[in-house]
Amino acid sequence: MRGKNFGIFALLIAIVVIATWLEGNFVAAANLKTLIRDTSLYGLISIGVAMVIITGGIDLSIGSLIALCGVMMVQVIDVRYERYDAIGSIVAIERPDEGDTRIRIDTGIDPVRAGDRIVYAGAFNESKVYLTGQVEEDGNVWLTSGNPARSLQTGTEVSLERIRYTNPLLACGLVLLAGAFIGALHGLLVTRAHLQPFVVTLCGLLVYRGLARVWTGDDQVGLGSALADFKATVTGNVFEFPLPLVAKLSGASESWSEWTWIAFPFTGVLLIIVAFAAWIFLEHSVAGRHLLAVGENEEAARFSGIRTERLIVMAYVVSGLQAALAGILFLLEWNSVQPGSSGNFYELYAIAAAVLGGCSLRGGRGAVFGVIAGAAVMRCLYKAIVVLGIEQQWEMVIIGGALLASVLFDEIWRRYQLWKSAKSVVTS
Amino acid sequence: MEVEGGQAIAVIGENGAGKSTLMKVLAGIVSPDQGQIELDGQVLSWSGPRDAIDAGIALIHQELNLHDNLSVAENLFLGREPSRFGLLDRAELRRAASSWLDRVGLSVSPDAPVGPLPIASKQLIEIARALSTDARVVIMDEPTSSLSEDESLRLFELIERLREEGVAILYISHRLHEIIRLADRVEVLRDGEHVETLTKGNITHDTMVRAMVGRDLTRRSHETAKECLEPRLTVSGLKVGSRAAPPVDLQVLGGEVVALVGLVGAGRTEIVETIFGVRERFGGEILIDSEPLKGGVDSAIAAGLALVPEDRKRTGLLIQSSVGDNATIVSMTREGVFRSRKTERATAAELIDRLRVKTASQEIEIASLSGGNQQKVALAKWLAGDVKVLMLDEPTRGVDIGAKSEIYEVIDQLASQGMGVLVVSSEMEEVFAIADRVIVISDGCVAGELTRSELTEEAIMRLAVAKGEPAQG
Repeated sequence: MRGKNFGIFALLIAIVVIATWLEGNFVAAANLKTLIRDTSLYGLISIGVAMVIITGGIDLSIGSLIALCGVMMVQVIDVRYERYDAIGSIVAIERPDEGDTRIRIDTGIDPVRAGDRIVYAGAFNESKVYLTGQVEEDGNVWLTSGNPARSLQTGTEVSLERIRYTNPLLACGLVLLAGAFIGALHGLLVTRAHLQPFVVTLCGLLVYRGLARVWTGDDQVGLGSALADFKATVTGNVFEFPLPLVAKLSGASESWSEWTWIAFPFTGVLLIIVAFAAWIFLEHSVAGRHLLAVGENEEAARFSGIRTERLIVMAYVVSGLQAALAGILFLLEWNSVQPGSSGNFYELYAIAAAVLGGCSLRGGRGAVFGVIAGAAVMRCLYKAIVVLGIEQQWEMVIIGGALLASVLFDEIWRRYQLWKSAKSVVTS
Repeated sequence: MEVEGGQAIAVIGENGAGKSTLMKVLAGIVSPDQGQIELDGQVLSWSGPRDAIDAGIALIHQELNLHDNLSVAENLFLGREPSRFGLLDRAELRRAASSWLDRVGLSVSPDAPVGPLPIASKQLIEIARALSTDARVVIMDEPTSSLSEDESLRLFELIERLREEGVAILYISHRLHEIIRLADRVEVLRDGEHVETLTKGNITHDTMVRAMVGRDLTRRSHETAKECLEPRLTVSGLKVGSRAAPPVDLQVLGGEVVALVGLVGAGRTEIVETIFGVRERFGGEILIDSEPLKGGVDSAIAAGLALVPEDRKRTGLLIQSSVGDNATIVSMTREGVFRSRKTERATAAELIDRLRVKTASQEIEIASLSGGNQQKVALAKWLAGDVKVLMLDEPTRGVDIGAKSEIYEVIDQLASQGMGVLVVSSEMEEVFAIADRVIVISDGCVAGELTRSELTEEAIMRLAVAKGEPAQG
C-alpha cells in the first residue's frame, strides 16, 4: 500500500523525449541546469505538502508563506551602512577594458569587503560606488568595483560606508524557526481546535500574503548588494557531472561521442538531503509508518496507541519549514521579493506535484520519489513551453491538462487492475 | 400477527431477535423475503418507505434521523413542504409545525435549529413528524431510550390519546415496566421468529422474560488456571461520558474471563473504551496489577492493556494496509526510531501462525481476508507484546462458526496463561461458552454480577432490564 507510481516516471521520460525531439535545445547544458535548480526548489515544497497530504490534510498557505518568509529574511538581514567620514582622496584610478575598475586612495583603511561603498559629492548630489573587494599589488592596496565610475577623478574626496547585516546563517535559522512555528500553529488548529485543514491554511494563505504586504508597505524589498558570498554559494553550483549524447542533441557539438558537463546547483544538493531524510522517515522509521496509518484511518491509528495529534502537528511543521526554506532560496535566486505576487500559486504547484507523484488526497498514501518526479514533470512542461516558443499564456492550460490526464490515467489503470484481479479470483 | 386500530401492541425480544428488522419491513425500508402485509384488508406491496408513509404507516426510528442544521419546522415537513405556486410557504410551514409540536407537548420555536436541542426534544420531533403524516399505524422503536421520566410520561399520555383516536401502535422497548403499563398485547420474537403472544392480564415481568429467553444453552467445558487469581484490572468509580455519569466499578482477575453483558446501548462499549483511554475519563481510578493508569491509549498499552474494538473496519484494522503491517502496527513501536523489516516479518509470521490466520501471504491487503481471519489479525496485533489485560468488544461479530470457536480457544488459552480477559458480548451462546463471571450493565451502571453457577439467561435478562423499574411487591 505504498504510493508507488511508476506512471509518473514514464510521463517524465515521455515529456523529456518529446520536447527534445521537437527542439534539441531543450537539453542544452544551461537549460538542464535551470531544470535541476527549479525542480529542486519546487521539489522541496512538494515534499513538505506531501507530508500533510499523507495525513489526509492540505496546506494552501505555502505560496504566501514563501513571500512572507522572503520578506522576513530581508528584514532580519537588515542591510544598513555605517559611514566613515572623509577618509581621504583618490590617488589613482584605473579602468581596464576587461575586469573591475581599480581605485587607490591615499589613506590606509581596514580591508573592505563586497557590498561596502565609497561616497562622494557628485554633480548634483551624493554619488555612490559599490565595491567588490580589494587587491594588493606591489605593496599598494587597490579597491575594486564593477562600476566604471566615470565621474570619479583623481583627487576626489571620498568617504567610505561599510555594509552591515545580520549573519546570514543566523537569519536563516530565525526564518526557518518562524516557518516551523507557523506550521505548528496550523497543526494545533487542526488537531486541537478540530478545524478543517482546508479552512485553516486558506486563512493562512490570505493572512501571510497580507502580512508580507503590510510589513513592506506593499513595496518590493531586496538584499541589494548584501550577502554576496552567501548568495554566490547558495545559488551557485557544487559540482559538474557529465552526460552523453546531449551535446549532439542540443546542437552544441557535431559528434555523438562528446560528453557535456552539466552544473549541479547547491539547491539540488539541498533537495537530495531533504528527500533522503523524508524517504528514510516514510519507509524506514516507525513514526513514518505511523504517519501513513494516521492518514489511512485516524481512528484505527488511535486505537492502536499511535499519538495521532503529535504526528499531524509534525506534518504541518515540516510543511511550514519547507516553505520557509523555499522562501529563503527563492529570495536568494531573485535577490528581491514582491510581497504582492512572489510565490503566487506555488502551493498549487506543490499539491499538483504531490498528487502526480502518487499521494492520495484522502491520505494514507505517498512516496518521496514520486513527488520529486511530479515536481520535475511540472518544471519540464514549463521549460518545454519556453523552449518550444509556445506563448506563455498556454502555460497553465498545458500543465492543468497534463495533470488531469495523468490522474485520469491512474484511475483507469487502478480500475483495470482491480477488474483483472477480481476476474482471476472468479476463474481460479 | 394482527394489529387492530386503537390497540397498543408491544414487541419484545432479545438483542438480534429481529424486532427492528420486522419494523423496517413494515415501514418499507427492508423488503420481506417472504409473506405479505395487509392493511385494512388490502394486500400491500411497496417499493420504498414513501409508499408506506402514503399507506399510513409511520416508523419512528431508534436512531435519530434529523437534519441538525435545518429548523424544527423544516425537519417536520422535510420532503413534503407546503408550497404555494412552487415556492415554499413559510407561514403555513410554521403554522402546521406549531400545531404538531403542541400535540406532542414540545415547547420549542418551529424556527429553532434542531442541532443544539437535547436528545429528548429531538425524539419528540421525530414523533411529531411521524404523526404529521396522518398515520394510522405508528411504529415506535425504543422511543423512551433517551427520554427522562417526565418526558416518558408525556409520551405515554400521547400514546393513550392516539389509541383513543383509533391509531394502532406498535411499541418496541426493553423497558418491561413501560410495556406492562401500555400494552394491550405483547408479541415475543426470538431468533427472527414469532414465538409467543401474551394478552392483557398475562403480561408480567416474569412471563415476558421467560418468553424472550425460552431456550437452553449448551455450556462448553471451560478450564481456568486458578493459581493466578490476583486482580489484574481494577476499575473504581469510573465516570464514562460525563462528570455526572454513574460510577462504574469492576474487577478482572488474572486467569479469568469476564463477560460484560447488557442490552444494546447500555454503555458497555463506552466503558471499555474509557478504560482503554480512547474516550475521555471523567473520574475514577484504573489499576493494572495495582499500578494506577494515566490517561491516553499509549500509556494504557505500555501498562499492558489491549482492546480489540467492536468495529474492525473503522477502529480495529487499517483495512487498506497489508496483513503484515496490521499485525505489527502495535509492536513496531518497540523497535525504536527505525523499523526493522526483518523483525516485523518474523513477528507477523509468528502471529499468523499462532492464531492460524488463513492468508496467502503477509503482503496482501487485509480487506481481502474473510471476517474471521480479519478478526484474528485484529487480536493478533496485541499478542506480540506483554498484555496483562485483554479487552474484546464483540469479538465474534460477523465471524463464521469455525473462526468463532478458534477465537474462543485463543481466549481460553490466553486466560489460562494468566491474562485477565474482559469480553463485551451480546451473544448469549458466547457468554455461556467463555465466561467465568458475568457483569451485567444497564443504563451505564453495573446492575449486577453473576458467577458461573448463578448464570442463566433469565438471570441476565432480569438484571439487564431491571433499571428504572418501580420497586416490586
